[in-house]
Amino acid sequence: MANRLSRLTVNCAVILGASFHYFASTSAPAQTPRANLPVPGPGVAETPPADNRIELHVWGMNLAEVRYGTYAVVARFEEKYPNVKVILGPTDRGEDLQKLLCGVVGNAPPDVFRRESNLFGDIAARDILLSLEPFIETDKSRPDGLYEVDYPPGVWASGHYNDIMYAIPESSNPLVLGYNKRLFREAGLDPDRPPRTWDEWIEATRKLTREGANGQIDTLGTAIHARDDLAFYIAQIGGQVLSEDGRTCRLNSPEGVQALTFLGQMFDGMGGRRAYNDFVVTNPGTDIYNPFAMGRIAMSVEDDWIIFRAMQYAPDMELGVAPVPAPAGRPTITQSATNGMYMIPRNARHPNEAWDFVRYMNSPESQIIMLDTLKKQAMLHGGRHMYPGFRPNRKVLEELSARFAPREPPFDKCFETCKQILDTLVPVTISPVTAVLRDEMRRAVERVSYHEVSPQQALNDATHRVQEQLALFYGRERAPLLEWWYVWLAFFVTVLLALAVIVIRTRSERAFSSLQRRENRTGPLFVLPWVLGFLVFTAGPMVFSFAMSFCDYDVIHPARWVGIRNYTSLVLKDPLFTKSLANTVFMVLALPLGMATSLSIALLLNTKVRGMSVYRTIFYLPAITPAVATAVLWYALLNPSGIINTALSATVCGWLGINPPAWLQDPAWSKPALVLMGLWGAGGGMILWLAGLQGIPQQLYEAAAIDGAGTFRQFRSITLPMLTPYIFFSLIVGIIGVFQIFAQALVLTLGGPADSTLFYVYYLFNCAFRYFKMGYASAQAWILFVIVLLLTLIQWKLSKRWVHYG
Amino acid sequence: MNWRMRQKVRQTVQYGFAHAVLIAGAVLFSMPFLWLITTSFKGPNEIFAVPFRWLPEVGQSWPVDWSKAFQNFRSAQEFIPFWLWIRNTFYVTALDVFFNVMMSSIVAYGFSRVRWRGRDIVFILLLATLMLPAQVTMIPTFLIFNQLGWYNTLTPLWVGALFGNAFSIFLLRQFMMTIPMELEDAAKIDGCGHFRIYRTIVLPLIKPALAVVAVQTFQGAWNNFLGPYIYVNTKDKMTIALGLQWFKSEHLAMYGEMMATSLVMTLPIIFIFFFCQRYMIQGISLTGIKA
Repeated sequence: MANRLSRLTVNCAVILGASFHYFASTSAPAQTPRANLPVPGPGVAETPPADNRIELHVWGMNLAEVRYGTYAVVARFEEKYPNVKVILGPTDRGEDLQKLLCGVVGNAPPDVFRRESNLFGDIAARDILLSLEPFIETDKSRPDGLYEVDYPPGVWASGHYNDIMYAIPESSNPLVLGYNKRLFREAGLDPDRPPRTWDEWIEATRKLTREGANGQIDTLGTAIHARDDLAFYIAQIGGQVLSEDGRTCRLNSPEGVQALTFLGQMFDGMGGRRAYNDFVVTNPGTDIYNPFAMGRIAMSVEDDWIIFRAMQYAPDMELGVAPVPAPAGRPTITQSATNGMYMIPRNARHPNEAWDFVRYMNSPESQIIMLDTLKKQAMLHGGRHMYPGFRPNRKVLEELSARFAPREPPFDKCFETCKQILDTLVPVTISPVTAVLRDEMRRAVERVSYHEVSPQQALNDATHRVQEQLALFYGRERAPLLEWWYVWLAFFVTVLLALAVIVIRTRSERAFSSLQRRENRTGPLFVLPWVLGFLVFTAGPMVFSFAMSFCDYDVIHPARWVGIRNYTSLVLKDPLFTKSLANTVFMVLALPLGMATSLSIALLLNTKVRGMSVYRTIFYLPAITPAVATAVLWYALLNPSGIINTALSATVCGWLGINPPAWLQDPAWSKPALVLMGLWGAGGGMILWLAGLQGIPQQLYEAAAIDGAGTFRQFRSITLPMLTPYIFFSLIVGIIGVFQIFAQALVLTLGGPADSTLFYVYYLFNCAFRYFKMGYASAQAWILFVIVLLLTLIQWKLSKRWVHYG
Repeated sequence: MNWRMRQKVRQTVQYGFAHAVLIAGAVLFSMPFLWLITTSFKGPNEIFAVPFRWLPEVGQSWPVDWSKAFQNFRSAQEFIPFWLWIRNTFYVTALDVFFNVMMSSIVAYGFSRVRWRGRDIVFILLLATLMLPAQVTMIPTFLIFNQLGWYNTLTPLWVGALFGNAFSIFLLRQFMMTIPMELEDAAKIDGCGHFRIYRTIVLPLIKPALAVVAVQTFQGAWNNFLGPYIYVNTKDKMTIALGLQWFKSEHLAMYGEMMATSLVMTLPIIFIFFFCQRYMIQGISLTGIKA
């Protein structure tokens, strides 16, 4: 332990000290933390490596239902490369870069990882990845090599940043128009002639959108997954999102305005965005809750996996697939929706073996093994459907579609159509600011579809923000490197000042008696464990983040000093910051409601009724049900046509003759919906009150009853005052917690609709881990810190007046 | 009717009313859990079927085909190293709960029952550590644990408990503050040290609060996702909350298996709560003390 602690002090210096340029110096003899792992917990000790094989750490492989396929391929790889042992790490979590960044920065990255292409440009631009050019060069002389000629140019280009290859695309999911032929026929349209131009598309969408008896939409014309797709519609017109050199944002060009106007017309043709939202849930990840498969959406722009989803969830559907309609006079094109890619981190320990793995994973052999295994597996598991998907590598694609393409109509034909559409693939925009670009495009589409602003205005604002991010990225090196010496100086001055303040402020508490002197010695001893933990694990990171708040820091490169720029641009120039603060304050104002609910429940559960322990457990249940379950459940409940609204329509809303709210899909109701969800979990707060209620001496109630005090009077004069210490606790902890509300936005709403659930820490998280603005995020964090600290100090002072300790 | 009878009638009415409210509340509050149960027994095409049905298809015919009913549970168990992950989770949770209850109560004692110079300022500092969003301290914290050689071990997940948890300390402090000081004056006069007062007088009196801390810590550690996600890489060290991710992939989610696993992993928390709530509602008798 002593050894540990001494290493720890060294380590604090490592983190705070000038040697923070860890990444720049990866060529220095790398420490291998994996090699000297201490013995883990009982029963989980790793089997000692009996062989001298290289351990190849691979992250992001699909392990869900395709797990056995992955295992089979890995086993074959290990046979072919006997000196390598593959260790499968965590699976990919979409946009979440936290773990990858930790691994890369901590110099303990995977050797190779597979992840979605969506933030490829942002990652590649920050020097995280190893150039694959030398490997491709040597592969040219290998019979089983990975060759450029096997890939369509558009896909091959999508692995490049600044003309250097950093990623091998493994799949290619072209955007297509899927449509339901039955609904076409019912609307009097030719089921074999889907719309080809934008005008025809708007027309067909109008015809196919049908209102039900209650004035709500029964069948939706077109589902546009507007999150990423504005760029695609701009490309259809022949426009560009960014200039050729990638340094200027062109979103507000005439092409951009035309594309956005078109999308606005589509929404209007379907009864407006609010009506549309009833169908398309905010979070696209829950594809199983799929109105298209239920036959309630006539057309949907999705990637080719729409075929698989239909096979899986709606095998009887008459599915048709066609190219996405193009503007009149333009050729139809397609783009890859997000697809899997293999990348090797720059500080990977075994880059050569990693490349062997990448090459093998993109060979026909491995993919045939994968799908063969899955096919056998599928037969075991009650015939789940096989779908090979599209591979950009021609050799792989041919082998796979010959063996595994869907055979049963109409899916066989759909697959063939997709294959033809694949030939019209154009590259997507690769940029260091993809995350901001995509978020801003989504925001522009939302604002226009809600008729908040004109398309031109929406795109001007979006362009402005993207341009800001571009300027930040390209102008980074203008700021001077952070001198850690100053940080240390500032740190020690602050500590000294703080100590001085403590001494002065506590002069009145000076010890006059020997008893008090003893107390002065004993008290800190009790508190010592926490102080130690604070110094070792908390203080360093806090100081670090405070220093970063004055820096331009993207987590990867050494921090650069920018003074108070982060703070000024947050407060003065960032409308999203203000919005996120306002959204959060709304939730804070709802805090008393939650406290009152949990207190009422506790009072109810504190009565002496038979079977109370069972009741208590039941009321506690929502607080312990795992988040994965509750998230899915809330979709089902708060869905505009879900259980809650069915009940509301039958009762209150029916009597008043109004439509029930669309909850999470309506900007005005999304926050109240989250408050409602919070109330359901009020059982979690209840246990505190229950315990607090036990501390109230029964004699007090007896005495009050004798004096003739009623139930309410007793509650007001005894229960409440005696509970004030816990009310105080709940208030402080509640404010701290609600100001950091985050998970709901991440899991359920992604900040939408129309930024109505863009909460403070959710925006901060985006800045830190998606926009690579950790310095900016740190400034946000410290502003929040000051706000919450001030609120707490005010309450602390006020508490002397109303909190009643024994 | 005499006074006694009226009292009795009133009590009966109150009793009935309480039951009615409780049952209504219980129905409302058990909904997510009932949904979890019924989904665990549903087939893949049944889970999101419209209209929603509370009774799974397999339960609609009689006699129930039990082997089919538990299909999700069986295939979930085949699919993930369930017991290994439960064991890892239990290991982390047990250490976390044990150390947190012990250390937090010791620290809370120092913040409530001993008067020392600068106490309130240090306490505000303790609260302040909670106010900085963890997102901006994640990277440096990771670097510390990595330097200590604790990457891909379970240690970072519980080691913080050795130093007490600020929330728990605050909660226990509030409870300790409500105990009248007179109680220990006598002990002090007898020459009793602070540690003995803590152990023999204060700890027994705050059992309800300790139970609350234990339950909350247990729940937090058991369901912790982000910690294992950041610090654990390999299958042999994963916890069950992290392992739930295995049921999701790019193109498909195995909701039935996921819900079945969620259900099984919720049971220990229910059990712990059921067990601990006895202590939460244990009346405290401060006989002989003026309130």
